[in-house]
Amino acid sequence: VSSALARVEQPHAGDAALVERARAGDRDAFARLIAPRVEVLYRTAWAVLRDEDMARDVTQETCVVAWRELGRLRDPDRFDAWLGRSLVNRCRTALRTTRRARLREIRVDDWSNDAAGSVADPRAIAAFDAIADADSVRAAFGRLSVDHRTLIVLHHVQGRQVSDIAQITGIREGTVKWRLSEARKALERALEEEMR
Amino acid sequence: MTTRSIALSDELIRRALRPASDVDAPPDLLDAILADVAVTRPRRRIIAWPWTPEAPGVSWRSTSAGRVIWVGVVLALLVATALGVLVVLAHLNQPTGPFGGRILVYSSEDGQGPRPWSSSRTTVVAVALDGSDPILVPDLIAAGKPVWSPDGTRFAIAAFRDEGVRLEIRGSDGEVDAVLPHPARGGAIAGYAWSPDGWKIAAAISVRGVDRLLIFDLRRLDAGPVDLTPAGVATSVSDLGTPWSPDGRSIAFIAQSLSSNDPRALWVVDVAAGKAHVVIERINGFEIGKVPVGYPISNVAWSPDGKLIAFDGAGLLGTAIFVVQPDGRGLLRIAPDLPSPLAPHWSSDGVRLVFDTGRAGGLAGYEVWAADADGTDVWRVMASGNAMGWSPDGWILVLSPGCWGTDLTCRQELLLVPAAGVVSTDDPRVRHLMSEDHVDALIGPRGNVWIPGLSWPGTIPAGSAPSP
Repeated sequence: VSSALARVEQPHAGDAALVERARAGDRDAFARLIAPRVEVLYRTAWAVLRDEDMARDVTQETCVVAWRELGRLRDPDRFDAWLGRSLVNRCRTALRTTRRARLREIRVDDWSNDAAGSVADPRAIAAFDAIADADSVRAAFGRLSVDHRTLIVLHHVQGRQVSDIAQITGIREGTVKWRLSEARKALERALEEEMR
Repeated sequence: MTTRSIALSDELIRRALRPASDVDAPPDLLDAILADVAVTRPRRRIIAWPWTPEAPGVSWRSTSAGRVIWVGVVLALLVATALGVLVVLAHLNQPTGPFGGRILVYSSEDGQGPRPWSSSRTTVVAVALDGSDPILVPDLIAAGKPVWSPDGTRFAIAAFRDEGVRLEIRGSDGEVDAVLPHPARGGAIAGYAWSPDGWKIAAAISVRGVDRLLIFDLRRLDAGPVDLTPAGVATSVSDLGTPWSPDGRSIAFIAQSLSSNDPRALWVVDVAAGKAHVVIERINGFEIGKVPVGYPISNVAWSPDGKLIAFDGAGLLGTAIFVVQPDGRGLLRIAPDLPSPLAPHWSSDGVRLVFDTGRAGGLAGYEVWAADADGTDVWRVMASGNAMGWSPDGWILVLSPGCWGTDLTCRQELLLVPAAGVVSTDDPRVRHLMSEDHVDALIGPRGNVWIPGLSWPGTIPAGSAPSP
């Protein structure tokens, strides 16, 4: 993830040229442009949506629409922010239409071998608690609004700076900070409800 | 059962929400994307509105083309706003009272029109353009015909009052806005006409027994009228007709020498300078140069293009219509073969004239005829009627039948007739505006003919007059 993000944060010098060529209808240029970005787009979508199928659909739709609407991008150097913004917006749309049907899932990969021992083992208990805590956080995350989810993913999961989030979400940095704080509080409240 | 509390740390959030190690993009995702791209064409960058969303619902951007369009839209809105303001201002200047935009007619009980010496009451009625919905102008016994101002917001009317006749300016609401100062209290007011700009009124008013041509400036009524009557003559007309030149600088009028028996002459006076000159003193070869005193040259009408003045003259053998240039050149007799043509009215384009012809000198009624102003063509418009003028869009206003003073049982009707003429009033193209019954319904049946001195509201744009 970090390497993919690095590519997004620091676009190649030739990306602007690729954007220009793609904008002119060059499909090969667009393929070269989008290929290294699919992974991070998918992971971002997954982090927000918590659903593989939806993440796939949103990523695919984001990329295809980017190809179709690339002519609207004024500044080729801002391709990644433009793309990220489109992805976040589609995640928002997708989640709004499906969140009522979401199911809680327990991730099996959190069950490490170390945690699979005797329940009387303190280390095993701590491991189970950690697994339960993460599961509760995910459940609480599922209670959040789409916008709060997006901000938490972008900041806490992807580690993006406020300035980057401001670019992607299209809101001012000061507002991003305030909304991040609100999202964090909302997550805490949701977690408390989960623990009752 | 105990409830365990969880400290929500950044690390916990990251660990709980980070994609699992096996959450990778499906291997076929890129291929699927590129497959879609292969069958999709990018949109052309033609539409570049400033409000085009960079990503739908997320943000907005502008492009140079969009800014150009935006500036164009703003300019268009500004122009539209300015036009709207002008329309509103124009609307504010439009007649808004109950009489606004209506034809003014007057009707007298004895059918002879308003006369100071007559006990016959003359009333003024405003009717819609289709002749419907007549409204009586209140508090008025007319001593002359109503005349709309050029913009149709006011009308001038001579009124009988206790102190005598006075000239009133009334708004489209019918209320008296101003009373022109009468230099000779109670004297007769023979005729009056608005200047083209609507700020002045020319009036023929009797002052100590001599008719004078007076100019009232409505902006300076306190200063009194300006007397433009040339020295040694008297204006002596019953109606000034259409005396103003289109530019408002000159007035054509009829005057007669006070010291000789010379026939009445056509004069033109420069309003600003007060200098007058004779246009036509006598017409050789026609009786008009020999008419005895008392037979008027009358019905002066300055053409809308300002190039010609039309008038009629009465001789022993009848009347005739002439056009002449304001400097006296180019005198031309119109329709010389017709019996007793009189009272010419110019079409709004200044090309044609419509007028009456009197059967048996008018004793047997009138016909309506029209002619080109250059005398090249003459045709009959209606077999019976009096021409009252033109509508702004080129139709002829006719009072039919033409039963002036001969048939007291005749009941007349106001019509709009195609300029080419019709055989009878049954022609489907004839628009029946109003009949005497309209007036009777309002002021009571008189059993007499009526003389509809008529004033068409001047603000009606071409094409808005009723048409068949």
